[in-house]
Amino acid sequence: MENILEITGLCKAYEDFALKDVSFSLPRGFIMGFVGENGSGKTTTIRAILNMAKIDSGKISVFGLDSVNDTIAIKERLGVVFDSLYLAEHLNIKQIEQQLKPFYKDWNSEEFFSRIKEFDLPDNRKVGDFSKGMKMKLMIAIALSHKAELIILDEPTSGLDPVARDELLDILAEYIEDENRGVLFSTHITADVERIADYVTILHSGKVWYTGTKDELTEGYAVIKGAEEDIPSALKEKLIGFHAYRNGFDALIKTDDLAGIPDSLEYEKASIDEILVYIAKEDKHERHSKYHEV
Amino acid sequence: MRDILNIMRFDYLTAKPLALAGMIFTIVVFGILSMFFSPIITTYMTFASMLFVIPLQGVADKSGFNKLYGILPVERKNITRARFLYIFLVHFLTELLEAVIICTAKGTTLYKILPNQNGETMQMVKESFADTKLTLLMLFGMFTFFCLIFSFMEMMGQIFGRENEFKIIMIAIGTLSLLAFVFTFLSEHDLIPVVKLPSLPDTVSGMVTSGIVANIVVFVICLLFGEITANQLAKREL
Repeated sequence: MENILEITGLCKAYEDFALKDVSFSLPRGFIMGFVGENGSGKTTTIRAILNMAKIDSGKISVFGLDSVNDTIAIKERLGVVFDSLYLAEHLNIKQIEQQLKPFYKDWNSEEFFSRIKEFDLPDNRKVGDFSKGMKMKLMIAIALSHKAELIILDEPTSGLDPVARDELLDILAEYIEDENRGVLFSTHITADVERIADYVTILHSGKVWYTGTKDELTEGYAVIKGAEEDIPSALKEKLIGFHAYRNGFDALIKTDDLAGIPDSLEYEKASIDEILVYIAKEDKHERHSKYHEV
Repeated sequence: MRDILNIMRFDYLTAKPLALAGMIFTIVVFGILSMFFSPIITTYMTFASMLFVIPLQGVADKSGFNKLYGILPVERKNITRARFLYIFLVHFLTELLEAVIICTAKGTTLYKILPNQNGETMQMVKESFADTKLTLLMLFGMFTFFCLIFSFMEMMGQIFGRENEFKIIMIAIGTLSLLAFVFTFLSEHDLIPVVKLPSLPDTVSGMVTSGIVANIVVFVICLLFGEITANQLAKREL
């Protein structure tokens, strides 16, 4: 399977934050949810892909091209949707189209205006007056009008109402029907990822915590609960984000480690949201002092 | 070059809705005044050039253009170079327009239909229409001054940040004034030899030639400012 995006050993350090050895890849024809808590490095990674942030080491390859040396060729074939509009807010859609079309060899005005019609966007109103959902749709229309093969979205659904979110996800699902395309979709709203992503990369404190298929992730982890004294000693080290409370504990565990657990402990499949929460708890060492030996 | 032209077009289309009405108003008002009272009035239209330049940075900041610059398939240095060429072009086209209005005003001599042709004021109007050299001096002078000021401000603003732009301009003006004062003081007290400034050309064709040279020099300075700025910004992240 050919990768439309491939990141290997990406390192980028700022004064107070660093991406450390970030590696993941997205095959053509799939949507990848790029998740992590705020400040985990999602936007920095996207900025590195776009060559907006200079990387310290590592390699980013988009369409098989180098993200630094071939950045212009990559951007011809790349659509980007940011969490906020990047267009002149006092202009209307027709004026925006006039501005952007000379930059793209494959720009198709007919396609653009048909998308605008399809998305029900007014072409005579200032784009700055659009709702957030309308702005997102406009940025997607732009991406689709120059035949972008890969769309990168940075937190597109944050701040959107449920209807607008649903519409946006439908648009992405339709876009990916062409198997030559790909979508990298950064978000901290994991419900969106659960709904449309095929692959998931979880970034935590600048490191990749998980990358792979969504199914492997959700099948691979469970939330375990019960009384703390029932935890076999061999299992204690394998618990992630252990949290003790008055009547027991809960934690995340790999499903592979569930073999042989006592019946008194309950477990259920973990959602991506839960996985993120337990990763954060693990990082904070959120354990009651009494249970530090766990 | 295609990138640079596209970015210049992008800047023009950004400024156009905010600037066009003001520019047309200025052309009409100054055009009419210059036709009847003095061709030199046209040269004040150079002020209106700023309508096409000043809004750009505000719009760019408000609308998150740094993100847009990050996703457009354009070399980053060309985005900066284009801005300086845009500033030059806006001033140059205004200068050309002014030249056309001056020629039209001098050709039509509409002031002759005004009443009281023998009055003192009308004598001044006639003298103004007759003094082509002064008109040309103002035309080229205004272009040179404003184009250089805006290019310099753009360079300072982009390199040191818009919030420091005013401070830097003030420091630059202060330094130049101080140098001029010191130089004049030393010359007057015979501490350094008096340098004779080159006198202005005596003929209209000489003035035109000087004006063309000034345009070329300003163009080169704009390119230079653009290159310096592009090199500085290339070191930074978007």
